[in-house]
Amino acid sequence: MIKRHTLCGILLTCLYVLCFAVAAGAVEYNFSIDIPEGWWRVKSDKYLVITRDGAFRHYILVQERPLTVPFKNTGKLMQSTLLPNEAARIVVDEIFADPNLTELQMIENNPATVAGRPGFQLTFLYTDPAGIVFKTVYYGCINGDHFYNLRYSASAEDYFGQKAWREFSGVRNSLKIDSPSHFE
Amino acid sequence: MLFRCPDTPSPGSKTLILCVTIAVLVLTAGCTATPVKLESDSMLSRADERMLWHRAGKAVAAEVARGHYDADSPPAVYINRVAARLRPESCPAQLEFRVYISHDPFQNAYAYPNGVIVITTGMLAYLEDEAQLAAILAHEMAHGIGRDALRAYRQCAGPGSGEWQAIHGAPPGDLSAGGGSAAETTDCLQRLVRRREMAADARCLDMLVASQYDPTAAVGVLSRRIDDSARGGSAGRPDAGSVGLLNERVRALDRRLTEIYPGVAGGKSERAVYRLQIQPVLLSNAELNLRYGRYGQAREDLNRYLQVRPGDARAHHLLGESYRRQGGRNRVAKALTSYREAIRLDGGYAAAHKALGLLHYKEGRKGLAEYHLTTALSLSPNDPESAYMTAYLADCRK
Repeated sequence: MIKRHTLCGILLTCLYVLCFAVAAGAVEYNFSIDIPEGWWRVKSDKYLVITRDGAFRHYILVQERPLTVPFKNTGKLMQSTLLPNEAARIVVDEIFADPNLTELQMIENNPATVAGRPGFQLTFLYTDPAGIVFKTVYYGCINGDHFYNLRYSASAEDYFGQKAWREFSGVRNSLKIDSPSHFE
Repeated sequence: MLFRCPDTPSPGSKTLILCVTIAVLVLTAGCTATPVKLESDSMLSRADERMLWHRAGKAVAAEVARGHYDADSPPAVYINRVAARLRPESCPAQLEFRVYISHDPFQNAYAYPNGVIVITTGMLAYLEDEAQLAAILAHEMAHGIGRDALRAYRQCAGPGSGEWQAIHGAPPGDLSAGGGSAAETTDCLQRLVRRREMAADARCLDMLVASQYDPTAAVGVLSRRIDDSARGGSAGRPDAGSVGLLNERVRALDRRLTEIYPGVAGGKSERAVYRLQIQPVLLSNAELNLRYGRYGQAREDLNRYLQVRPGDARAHHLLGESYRRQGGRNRVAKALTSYREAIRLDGGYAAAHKALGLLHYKEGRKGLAEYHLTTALSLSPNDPESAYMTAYLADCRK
């Protein structure tokens, strides 16, 4: 228990450092979402991350990933010609190859429409290094030279009630690709 | 081939408990100045050795429970038979060797202190014959017989360290001044590893000769690893530091072969037996390589498998997968050929129908896509991707 608190403390410190360190300038994306009321943006160059109660409790992450960038754990590349199930396989392999995640359990892998494009939806559970069970709902699609993904990740015990799910669904439905936006 | 942790990370598998111990000790403990002598202690007579065995047993049990280690499949049974033939008569009775296959596409083998030896599917796919397998096993068994994990433990957890004192109590007199810097400890450990690798190689040669295997197989495996490294070969190859040690070991093995076994050459290699016994491993390693995006290595495994079993539909399907997943126009054509061959060999092979259906769908040949996807769904209605196939079929029928 002490270890978990220590780890949480370190992670929170890192988060605050990150928040202040990356405070320079606006970040531009080729997508847009509506941020629900009461949610705030965790500043990051790589992703758009928003949370209501803190990113270590729950967050929604949107990523615009060039197809030329290989995935970290498997080295695999997406291609613009991939079908949704093929793109999903690459993401599933990447998730299962992540050495930081244990007790991984894939619950759903289905086709989905993401920002009006054919894509996929994954739902999986995992245990983080601090021993907390997280649930992630992951939507992905390929558009042009980029792979877009939108994730809702939170402690599996909390944050999957009706309110959180309604808020996430609102964000998902508001996602627009090829719609430049910037966040302060 | 070492008694330390794998040199390439393998997602999903936990490293040897010894690695953790050594890593912690390297950071925290001092290093004794002289090589550790164990000859006066009989095996398991001291608490620290019993503790290492206990920890190793727990670590192995955890890996077995997770399904990462296998000692019961036919290839594992065969490998354990080879290990049993290598066991020297002088081996302490307490040391029972048991070999596990680890589902890991990277080339590696390692020994736990308690006689458990682990060899990866990647290493088994890499080896060419039974003599080379025997060389790897004999080397790891030599680490067990030489109690090298205990030596490393005592070298690191010297009398000045907390770990040592926790087991043995406070050291008397000037022994308590055994502390040193982390750099000194690392240096000591590297020298110990070098010495013990050489000693294990020497014992390995004796075991190969006594079991009538070709002793040059030991040199062959190491030389091939060095050549692969120079060519920038497959992932899982040794790093530059390890190559230096490998070269040194090859020279020492060559010397020993010339000086001690000048007339011994051409023992048994059992290439055909090995290839036959290891077939299932090649197929599962190909699947692991595919999962890791190592398409070239997957094809190497599959081509070796197909040399022995050319009529295996699953292998042709996987070969098609390796081409399709890697992408590119020429490879797509090769994938089509492989999938068609799989279906020719087994018309009821759902995975090949599905793969062919997806390829046709992608290429806009909706009629062919509809036929193969419908067939795949009728053969395997519970396919995990059935929802995708249903969606593609609906699009084909528009």
